[in-house]
Amino acid sequence: MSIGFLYFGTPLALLGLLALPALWWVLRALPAPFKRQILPSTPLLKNIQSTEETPDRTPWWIIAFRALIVTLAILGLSQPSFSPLEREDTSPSDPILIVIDDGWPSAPQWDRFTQAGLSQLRRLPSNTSVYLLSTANREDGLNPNERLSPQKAIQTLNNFEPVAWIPDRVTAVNRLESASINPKKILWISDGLLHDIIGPFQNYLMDQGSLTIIPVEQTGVVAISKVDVNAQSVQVKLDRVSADNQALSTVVSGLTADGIAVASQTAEFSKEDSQTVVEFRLAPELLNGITKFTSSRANSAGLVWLLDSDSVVRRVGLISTYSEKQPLLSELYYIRKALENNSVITDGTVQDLITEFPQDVLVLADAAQIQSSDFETLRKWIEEGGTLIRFAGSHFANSNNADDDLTPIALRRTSRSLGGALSWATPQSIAEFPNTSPFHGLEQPDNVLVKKQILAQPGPEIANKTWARLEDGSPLVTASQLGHGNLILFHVPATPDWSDLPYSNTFSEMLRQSVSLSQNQSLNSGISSDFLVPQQVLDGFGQLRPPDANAAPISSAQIHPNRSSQSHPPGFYSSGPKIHALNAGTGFSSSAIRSWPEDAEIITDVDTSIDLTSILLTMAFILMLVDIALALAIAGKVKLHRFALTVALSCLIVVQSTDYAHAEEELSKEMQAALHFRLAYIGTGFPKIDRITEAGLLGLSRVLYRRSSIEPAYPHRLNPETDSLELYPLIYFAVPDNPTAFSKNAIAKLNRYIASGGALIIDTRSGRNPNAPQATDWQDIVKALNIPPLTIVPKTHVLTKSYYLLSSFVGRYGASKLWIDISAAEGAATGDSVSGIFIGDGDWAGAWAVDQYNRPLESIDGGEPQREMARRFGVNLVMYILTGRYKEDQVHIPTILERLGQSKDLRNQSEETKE
Amino acid sequence: MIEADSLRAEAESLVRQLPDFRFESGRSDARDAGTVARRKPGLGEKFWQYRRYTPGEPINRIDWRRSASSDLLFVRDSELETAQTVLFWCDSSAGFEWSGSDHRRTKADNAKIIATTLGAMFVSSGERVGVLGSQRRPSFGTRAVDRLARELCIANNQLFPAPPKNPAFVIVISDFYNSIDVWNDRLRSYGEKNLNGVLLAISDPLEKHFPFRGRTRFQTPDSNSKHTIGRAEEIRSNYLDRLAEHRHQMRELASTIGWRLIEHTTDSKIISGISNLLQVLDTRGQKF
Repeated sequence: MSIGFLYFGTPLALLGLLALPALWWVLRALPAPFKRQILPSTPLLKNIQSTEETPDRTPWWIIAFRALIVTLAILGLSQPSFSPLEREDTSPSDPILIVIDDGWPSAPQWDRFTQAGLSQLRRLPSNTSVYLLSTANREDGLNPNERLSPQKAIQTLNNFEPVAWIPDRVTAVNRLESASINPKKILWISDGLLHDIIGPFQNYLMDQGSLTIIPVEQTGVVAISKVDVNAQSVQVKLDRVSADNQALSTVVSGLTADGIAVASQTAEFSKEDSQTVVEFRLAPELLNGITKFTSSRANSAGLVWLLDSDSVVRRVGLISTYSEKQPLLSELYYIRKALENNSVITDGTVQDLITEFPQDVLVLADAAQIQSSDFETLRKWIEEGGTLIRFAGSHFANSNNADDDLTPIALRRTSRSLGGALSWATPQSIAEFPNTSPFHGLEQPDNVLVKKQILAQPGPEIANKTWARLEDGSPLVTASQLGHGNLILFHVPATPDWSDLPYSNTFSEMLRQSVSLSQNQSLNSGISSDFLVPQQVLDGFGQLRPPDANAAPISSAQIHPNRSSQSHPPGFYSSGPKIHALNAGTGFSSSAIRSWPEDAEIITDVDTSIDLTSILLTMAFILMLVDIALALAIAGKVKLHRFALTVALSCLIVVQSTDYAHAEEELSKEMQAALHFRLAYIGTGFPKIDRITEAGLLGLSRVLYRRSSIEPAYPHRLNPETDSLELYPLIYFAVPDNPTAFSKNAIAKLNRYIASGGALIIDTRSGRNPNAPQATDWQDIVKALNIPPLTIVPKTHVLTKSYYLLSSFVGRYGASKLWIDISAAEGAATGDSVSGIFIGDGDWAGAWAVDQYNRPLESIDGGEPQREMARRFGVNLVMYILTGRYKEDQVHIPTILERLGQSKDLRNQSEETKE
Repeated sequence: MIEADSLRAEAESLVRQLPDFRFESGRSDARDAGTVARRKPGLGEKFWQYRRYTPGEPINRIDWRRSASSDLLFVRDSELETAQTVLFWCDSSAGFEWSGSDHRRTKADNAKIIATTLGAMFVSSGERVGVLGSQRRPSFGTRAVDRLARELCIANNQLFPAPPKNPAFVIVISDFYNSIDVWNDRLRSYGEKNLNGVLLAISDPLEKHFPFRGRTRFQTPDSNSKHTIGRAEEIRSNYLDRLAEHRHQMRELASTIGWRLIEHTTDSKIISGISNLLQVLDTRGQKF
C-alpha cells in the first residue's frame, strides 16, 4: 500500500492509529504518578481534600508527547519506505514491461538496479500484468513471455543477478519480438552504456508503449581490458567509459589462488583519460603465483583479469656454448631474442644451472659446453620434472659420445642436406603442425626453408612424438616425456646455418610454447583435443564458481574472442595441462549513452527509496526514554541533568559490555586452543565414547605433563564442521560402533587439516573386541578422507624411539596394529615427511583414560605393565607429532660426541704446545 | 539515632554554655528529704535562724540555751533541705524518630539531647533525675546523667506511663501529633495527682511550614496513615490552620492541669530551646 511517496510494508499496522484517541482518554484517566512524602503530621491532614483533584493532572503536552511516541511506533511497525519517484498515473490494469540491463557493468551497483525496479513494482496494484526482460543473452534470464503478478515479479527480481558478459540488445529485441506482448508501459533500467546498438533498441521500445528510462548513475564503469606479462614487467591496462570526466583512482592488486594480494598499485585516471596503465615489476616467483588481477573499486567481472599459463614467466637457463663467435652467429643470441620477452634468462654451465640457480627450462644449444658426465645429471634433472630444449647441429651430428642418449627418438647421427650441390632434393618448408602438437594453432610460416637437418631413425613412435615436420614428413621438432620432465629436440640448430627458422616469428612462438609446457606438465596429456573445457567461470560480481550447464567447451582457435557469452563465460578453460583464461573485460570499450529519446520519460534520480522503519522506531525509543526522564523529573524523583548523565553512562557501559561479552563468547575456544597446547578429539555424538576419549586424552595429558616438557592443557572436544582444526597439532578420533558419516564440509576441513600438517589419529577400537565395529563401517567414513597409502609402522620407525624405546604399540588389547602414511615410513631418504594420519585398533584412549583422581577407568589386557606401555606409546606419539623425525638424527649422537671429544683434545694439545 | 555516649558529650558541652540553674522549689515540694538547701526554714540539719516563740507552738521546740541569755523565748529554725525529682519522657514513635532533611537531627535526637542536658544541670544542682515509667528509681550524682542518657536511648515507650507514686516534676517531650483526646486521657491522671510538669513540643520545619507542591501522597513513617493530595500547595493554609488549632488545644490542656507547653523546632539551636524551657521553669518557680 502506498500513500503519496510513502510505501507501507505492513499497512495493517496502521490500524493501530485508530487506538490513539482511546490512548488519549486512558492517559488522561490514569492518575498521574505522585511523589511520596513522609510526614509525621499526616494525621492532621485527615479529611482535607485538594480542591482541584481531577483536572489537569497530566499536562496536555505530556499526553501529546506520548501520543506522538505511540504514533511513531505504529508508523514504524508498518514498515514505511519513502520513495521520491513520481507516482504512476496509469490505470491499474495496464501491463508493464520492465527491461533491465544485467551485464557485468551493472554488477557494482546491482542493488540500485533491482531497487529501481522494486520501487516501481511495489506501487503497482496487485492485478497488474508485469513482464520482465533482461538484456544480456542468457538461458536463465528474465523471460518476457511470462506474465507475472507484481508480487511474483518482486520475488524474481530479488533473486536475479547480473552475468559476466555485456548486454546484447539485438537479441533482446528479438526475444521481445517473439514474445509478442503488448505492454502499455515500458520501464528500462539502463546501465547507461552504448554497448553495440542503442537506437534500434530504443526505437523498438518506444514503439511498444510509453517508455520510462531509469539510467542508473554509474560513477565510472572501469574494466581491466588487457594484461601484458613479460619478463620485465606486468602491464595492466584499465579502460573506462569515455563519458566520465572525473579524475578517478583505484587500486589494482595481483592475487594468488589463495586470495593473497602479492602486489598492489594505484591506477589513476586523469580527467580526460579513458585509459590508464599500471605497471608492476615483480620477481618471476612472485608473478607466477598470481592468478588474477583485480581492482578494489568494485565487484564486477570486468574488473577481474584471470591469468593463464601463457602469462607465467619461466626461468630459462641457457647452457653456455664453447665459442662465443660474432653474436649474430651465436645460437644463444637467437634463443635469447626469442625468449627474452616473457622469460627470465640465465647463462651458465650445467652444474650451475641445476644446482645453484634452479631453472624451469634448460636450453642445450648445439655447440653447448657439456661433458659426458653432465648427461647423467641432466637426465636426472629432467626425470625430476625439468624441461630440456635441445638443438641439433653439426656438433651434435659429429659427436659420438656414447653417454649422449638425451634424445626423444633414436636419431641418425648424420645430417641430411637438402638443396645442396650434391643433393637432388630441394629445401623443404615446414608442414602444417599436426593436431596433436602443442604448436597446433600457431601461424604457419610460409617462407621458411630448411636446408639441413638431423634425421630420425624410422620407427612407429615417431608420429606421436613429432611436434613439427617438414613437407616431406621428416621430423623437425620431436619431444618425449622422460620421468616427470620433458625433452624437446629441434632437429636444426638455433642459428640460420641450416634453416631460416631462427629468422622467423614462428621460431620464437615455438620456443615459447615449448617453454610454457615446463613444470610438471606432462606432454602426453597435453597433446590432446582442440577443445578447452571450462573449469571455473566468473559470475557478474567477479567471483569464481564452478561452471553451470550452459558453459560449453571452446575450440582453442576461438579462445581469445573479444566477447564472452553465456556459452563461453569468462573464466578458466583447460585442455590437459594448459590453462587458458577468458576475460570479461577483453577489449572493453563502450561509451555512455549521451542522448535519450525525446519522447521517453527519463527519471535520472533513481535514488532508492529510503526505509523509514528503523528511523521511526529509533525515534520512538529515544522519545520514550525522554518521556521516562520527564516523568521522573516531574515527579521530583530525579534531577534532569543527573538523569541524563546516568543514562549516557549506562548506555556506554551496555554498549561496551555487550561488545566485550560477544567477543569473549566468540573467541574463547579458539583463544584457548591458540594460547595453550592441548590434545583434541572429534566428538562422535556417543556420550560414552566421548567421555572415555576425553578421559583418555586427559590421562595422556597428565602423563605428558609429568614426564616430559610438554604441558598440555585440558583436551578439547571438536566438531570438525565448525571448529578451527588447524589450532590443534593432534586430533584423536575414536570410531564409534555405529559411526555416522562426516558431512562434506567436515571432510573438506579434515582433509585440509591433514594436508597442512595436522595429525589425525583414527582409533577403530576393534582390537580383539567381539563387539567391534565392522571394518566396513569405519572404512566408509574414512574413505572420504584423502588418505595416502598406508603401511604398518616399521620396526625402525621414529615412533619406536621418539621418547621411550618401544617395540610394539599396545593399547587396551594385546597386539595392536598401527598404520601410518607410507611416505613417512620409508626412512630418511624421502626427507622430512611426518605422517599426518595414524590408523590403529588399540583403543589407546581407553587405556589412557583416568578419572579425576588419576584412577584408570577401563580394564586392560596385560594389566598395569601394559597400561604403562600404552602410556609410553602415547608419549612417543605426541613427541613424534610435535618434533617430527628429529629423534632419528640422534643416531649420530655417538659420532658427534666423539668429534666433540676429539676437538676438545686437539684444543688441549694446542694449549699445551703454547705453554 | 544518637548514641548514649555522644548524647552525654553533647549534653556536657551544652551545660557549659548555660548558666547555673536552681529549682526554686516551694515547701509543698519538700516531700522528699534531700541535700539541697532551700534557703528557707524547714526540715533540715543546718542552722538557719532563731525566731521569737509564737504562743501555741509546741513547748519542746523552744531553744532554751538561746532563751536563757535574754528575757524572750526563742525557737531555733533549721534550713530546709530537700531534693527535687525530675522525670523525663521522650516520645519514641517512628514519627518522632524522623527528620525532614538529611542535614537535620531527628526530633527524637533533639529531645534526647535536651533531656540529657537538663538532666545534667539538675544533677549538678543536687536533684534526682530519671525516666518516666522506668523501673529504675530516680537517682542523683554524676552517674545519674549516664544512666539517664542510656535509658533515654533504649526507651521504647509505646504506652504512656501512669503517673509516679512519689512527687516529681515531669518533662514530657513529643511532637504531640496524636489527637487531643489521646493526650487528654494521658495527662488527666497527672493533673489529678497534682504533679507539676512541662510539655515540650518539638517539630520539624517541614511540619511547621508545609512547603510541598504538586500531587503528593503523605504518609507517616510507620505508614499507619496515608493521605493523597492532588495539589499540595493548595491545602497549605488549611494545614497550617489545623496545626495552630491543635497546638492551641494542647496548650489549653496543659494549662488545665497547671502545666505549660513550650515549642521547639529542629532547625533552631538546641541551646535556645533549652533556654526557653529554663525560663519557663524559672517563672514557674516564682509562682510558688
